[in-house]
Amino acid sequence: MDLINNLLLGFSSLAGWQPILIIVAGVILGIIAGAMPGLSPSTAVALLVPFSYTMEPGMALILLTSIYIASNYGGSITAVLINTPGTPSAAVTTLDGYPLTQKGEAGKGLGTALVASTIGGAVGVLILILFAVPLAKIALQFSSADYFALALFGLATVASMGSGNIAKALIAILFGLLIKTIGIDPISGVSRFTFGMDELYDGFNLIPALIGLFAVSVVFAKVEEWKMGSKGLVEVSNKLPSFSEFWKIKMTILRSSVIGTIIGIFPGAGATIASFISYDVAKRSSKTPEQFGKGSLEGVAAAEGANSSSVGGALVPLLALGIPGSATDAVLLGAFMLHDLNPGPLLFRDSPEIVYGIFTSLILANIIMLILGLYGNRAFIKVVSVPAKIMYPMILAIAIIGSFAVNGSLFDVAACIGFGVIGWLFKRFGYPVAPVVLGIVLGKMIEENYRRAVMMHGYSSFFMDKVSLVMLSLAAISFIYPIIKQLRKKNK
Amino acid sequence: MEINISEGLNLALFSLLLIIIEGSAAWWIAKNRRDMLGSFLVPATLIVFSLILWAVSRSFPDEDIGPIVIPQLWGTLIVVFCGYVILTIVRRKADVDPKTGNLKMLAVVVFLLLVYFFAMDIIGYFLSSFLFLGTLMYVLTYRNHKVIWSISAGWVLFSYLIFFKMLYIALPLGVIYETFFE
Repeated sequence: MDLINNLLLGFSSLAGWQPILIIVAGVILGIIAGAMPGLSPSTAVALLVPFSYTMEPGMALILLTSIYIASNYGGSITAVLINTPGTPSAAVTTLDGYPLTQKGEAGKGLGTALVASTIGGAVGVLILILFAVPLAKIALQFSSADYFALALFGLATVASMGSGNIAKALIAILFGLLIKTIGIDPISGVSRFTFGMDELYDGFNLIPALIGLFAVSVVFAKVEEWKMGSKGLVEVSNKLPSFSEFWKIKMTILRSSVIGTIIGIFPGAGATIASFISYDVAKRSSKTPEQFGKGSLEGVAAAEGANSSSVGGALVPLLALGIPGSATDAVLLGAFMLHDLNPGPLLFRDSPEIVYGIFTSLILANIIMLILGLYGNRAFIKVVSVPAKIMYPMILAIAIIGSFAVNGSLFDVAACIGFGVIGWLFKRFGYPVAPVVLGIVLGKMIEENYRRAVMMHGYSSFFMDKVSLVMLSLAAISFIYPIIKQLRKKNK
Repeated sequence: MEINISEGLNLALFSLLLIIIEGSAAWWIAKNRRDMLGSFLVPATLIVFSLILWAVSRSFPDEDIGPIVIPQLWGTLIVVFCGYVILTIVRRKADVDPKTGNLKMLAVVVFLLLVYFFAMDIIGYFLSSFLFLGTLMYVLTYRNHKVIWSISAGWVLFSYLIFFKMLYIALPLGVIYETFFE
């Protein structure tokens, strides 16, 4: 009963035109920020924190969380249309979203991303409302060994990305992992492979690497192909998927939403890992796994459902325990404090109108995102109607400013160009680039937790802990099974 | 981790040796498996890269589960898997290289991108972006001059208003501007 009363209290705080306008503004800003490479959800929220200072605390937090939830969807727009993930988690969306655009079905890609994001976001919020406190407590009991096992499980998704050549996919992921070791060692503080360059102390930033590997490399490949007509990149249709197409992928959307929420709850895991794991699970359980990577609606839905639902998951430890689970949560924590609010169990007791106001506004933000997305998609699709000879220079310009915007550093721009060349070479000779990103994303988590677990409890810690043991076994199965399947296929 | 002079010299010699070995192997591949030269060069270069990092990592403190462990593990695995890929090339079990496209045009685009990158520091982001966009569209054989220069100017205006003014991103103004106007 308490929950229902509190939810009604939350809905009542949204009465009037002002909260609705704030949510609409937040969703629009979030979509724009998410679609812009270089502007992560955390940056977008951080930029708006000062503006929210003069607002009433409840409204300020509604604005910021609306931006947070919409920016995850925004990342998929450029991922689908120009193969440039606006946010790191949208890297997985490019795998099937961009092939859909190349087939002239950008509308289907964007429509699937939008609906999956909306449902994913709603599922994440629902789980947040119902189980915030108990889930947060479970997540905090995870040990280093468990985190290592979770990261290894994430690595095992590489088997889904090999496009037939697992050795090359493994080389790509190992390259990403090796690149991630550049910089200050997270445990001993020793600088590794920096060669005296200050810019390398923090290692390579993910965003320039992502933009280079996905966007710049595609421009290079297209220029090499030299098929530049005066028309648009491809003839595209803004037709959305039909109801029956959505119905076919309903389970994928729901499954990825649950996976995304659960992974989002673990501090530090985040939307990108959620997307990779969800994509892998969707491919394994699909009736048409051969369509993945070639424009599968299931692939887009799996990635987007997971990354949007992870927002609800990431808010669980923040709201229930006051522990930020992601970079954006850390910024939100700052915003809470700015308004003299301390997230944690006491917030639920002392200011239920704030907490439940956020919950209900997140539901509303998802609905508004769906409406705005449906109308916006028609405009977004026009982007790919621009002639290639104009579009490719524009993509490079966006890539450059996006890389620079992350840290205000020309080094990041150089890294983006370098990764562009690497991405082009990799793709040209059959090495998938998504595993490189996966390696960069998971590298630190794997190394830190592996070393910490061994230092604290020895090698046995991985096998003594039940959670870790289950996840390691799952990782081993998901890694070995596709290899056996491939070998069997070859022998036949 | 700083590397001293003798270590640096050894590293340079080791790197040179690796590059000579890679070059010799590439020469053999070019002679006997010409259609797989590109496919050979990618894993071979990754092996050289990993071995160089492997050698550098030897200067890290050698502790139990120290900073040396993980880089050497990834490096070793790269050498193993790249070795396997090279073996498939030698045994002619790998795919042949994809057909070469317009590499000359690609080289021009990369060159322009590099000029743009260095020019940003000298003439500033705004002017270099304007020139880069216009020149690249022209190089890619787009000939509607009105569209070319209005898009270039539009992008400069957009990046000025959104990134520079609204988001306070300190886009480089260039040495020339900073010397004379600041």
